[in-house]
Amino acid sequence: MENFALLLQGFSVALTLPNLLAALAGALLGLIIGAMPGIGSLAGCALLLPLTFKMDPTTAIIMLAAIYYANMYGGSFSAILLNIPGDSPAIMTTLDGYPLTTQGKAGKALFTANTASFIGGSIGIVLLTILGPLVANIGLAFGPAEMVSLLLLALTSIGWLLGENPLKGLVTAGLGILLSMIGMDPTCGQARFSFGIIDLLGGINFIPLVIGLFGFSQVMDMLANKQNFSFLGGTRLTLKESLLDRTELIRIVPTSIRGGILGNFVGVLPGAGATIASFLSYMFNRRVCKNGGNFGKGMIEGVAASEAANNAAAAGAFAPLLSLGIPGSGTAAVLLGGLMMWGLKPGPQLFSESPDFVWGLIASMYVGNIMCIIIAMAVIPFLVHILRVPSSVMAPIITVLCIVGSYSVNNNMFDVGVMLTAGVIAYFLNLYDFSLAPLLLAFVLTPRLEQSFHQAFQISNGNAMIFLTKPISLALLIAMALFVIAPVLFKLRKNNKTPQANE
Amino acid sequence: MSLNRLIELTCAVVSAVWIYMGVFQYGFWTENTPGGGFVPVLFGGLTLIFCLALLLKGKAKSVTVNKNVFFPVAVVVAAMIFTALVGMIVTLLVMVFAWLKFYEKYSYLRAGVISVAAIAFVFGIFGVWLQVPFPTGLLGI
Repeated sequence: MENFALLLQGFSVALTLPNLLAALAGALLGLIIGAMPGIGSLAGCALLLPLTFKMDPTTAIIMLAAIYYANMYGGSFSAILLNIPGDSPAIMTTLDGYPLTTQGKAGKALFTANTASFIGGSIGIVLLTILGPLVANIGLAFGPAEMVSLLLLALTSIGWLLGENPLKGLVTAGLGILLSMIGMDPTCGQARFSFGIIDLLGGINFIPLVIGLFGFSQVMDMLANKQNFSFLGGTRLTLKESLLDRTELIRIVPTSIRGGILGNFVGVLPGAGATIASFLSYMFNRRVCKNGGNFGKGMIEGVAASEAANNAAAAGAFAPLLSLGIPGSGTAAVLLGGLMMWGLKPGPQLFSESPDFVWGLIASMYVGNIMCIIIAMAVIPFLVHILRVPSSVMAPIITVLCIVGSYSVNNNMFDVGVMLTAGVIAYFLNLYDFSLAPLLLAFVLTPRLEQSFHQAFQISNGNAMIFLTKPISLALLIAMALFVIAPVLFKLRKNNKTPQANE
Repeated sequence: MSLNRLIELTCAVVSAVWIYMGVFQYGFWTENTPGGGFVPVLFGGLTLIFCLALLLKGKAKSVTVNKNVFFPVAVVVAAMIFTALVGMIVTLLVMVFAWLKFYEKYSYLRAGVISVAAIAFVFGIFGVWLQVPFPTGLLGI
């Protein structure tokens, strides 16, 4: 009840004209940045941080927060329309979003993504309001050992559950892990696997890699199947035609609620973030949904699962950020830098020392979430115009975006080379049914895994029993073992039944 | 050897290199903590096992690769070379125009309008708004 009164007080701060305009500007900029392949929420917030230097701290962080979660909305646009995730949390959205586009249902996919993002974001914000400090304490229970077990569970399930051939999924996940080790060892600063190439000392950058894997390989595919097509052909696609009917809404609401709750919890975990949240939600919903077997072939539930979770995680990341000063993601780390720049000290005292700021920010997230869905829905008819452009024009334009997007990360042509190499490898991997999502997810998760491994062993003095003596870690490892053993047992059982049936 | 076999074999070789370097160059274990080679050896080993399983169990798949796929690869390589000479903006403008005019057989006018509009959009977003310093090349354009 006390939280509710404080929230009302927060609305009086959030609903002032400068703060409303800041939330509106943030939502608009965030959507644009999120939709553009190669920038992403982390780079977007970092690039726009200087814009807020002259603002009041509350107004500034309201704008940055709006950019952050509007990014999650925007990231789905290029994932659905171009098969290029705008940012890593949208990787899972491509799996069903792009097949929906190729089936001529881009409007429905975008509408599903926006609706699920709104539901997930709302769940995240409500939970942040009610459980803020409490939820942050749960996140604190995740030490290095628990984080290792969680990440191992995630890595194991990536390979098994993605793609039609689990073994190929495991190989691409393995490749992603190996590629992520190029560059400085995160624990001791030793250069690894750079083979004397100076540009590799900093490792392979995520953005050129993702642009190559999903964007440039797409251009190669367009030219391989050289037909001058546009996904929409001559059909009109309006907001009205994009609306979901009652049956479709019934299909996505439970998925979005599940994804929202799961995503919020994962978003609270330090370092886990929206990427892991969208991945776990996708996998979980694939298991529990009635038509889960069709995930990956253009199911609106798949889009909803990923989008609800990444928006809920974006809101969840604010709980440890505000109440403990622990960023839940890379973007939250930029926000933390902003808070400190304005002289605010995130931690339990922030709630008592700067209630106007904290509750004003939380209240602004309710307002910003509504602004995001209105703007996102309104731009659907404009966005789908992209699909009317024939592939003969799209191919050179996407190539230009691939080159400039990769170059702009470090202003270095080496990254264009990385994009090109990744694109060629991805094209041939795709040709032989190797799923690319495991590679990218493993690439993102491994540095955190390696760091947690080292921390866990340092704490236990090199004793591996630390992973078995911590209850949460043990539970996660048992879950991992079940993930590995269960499919084998199911297959054996199926093989045993088939001969009997034949007899 | 079919291309999918070559992919699996390359992955296996990469894993083996990671294991070798992990053990002999970075160190698997140092005193009470993992060395720089711990995670590379652990996951290199697992990846090698998966690759060998694919090589032993999987079937060779024959797919005809369309020569058109190498066109964008050649275009990007050429763009990287010409960027160093005439700068990125000019290179990309010429690249889009030439692609549309000579590869897709668009008219001069259509190819010109599309290429100028596309590069103006990209330059507006990246160059003006995000202040990305595009390479200007030897001519300083």
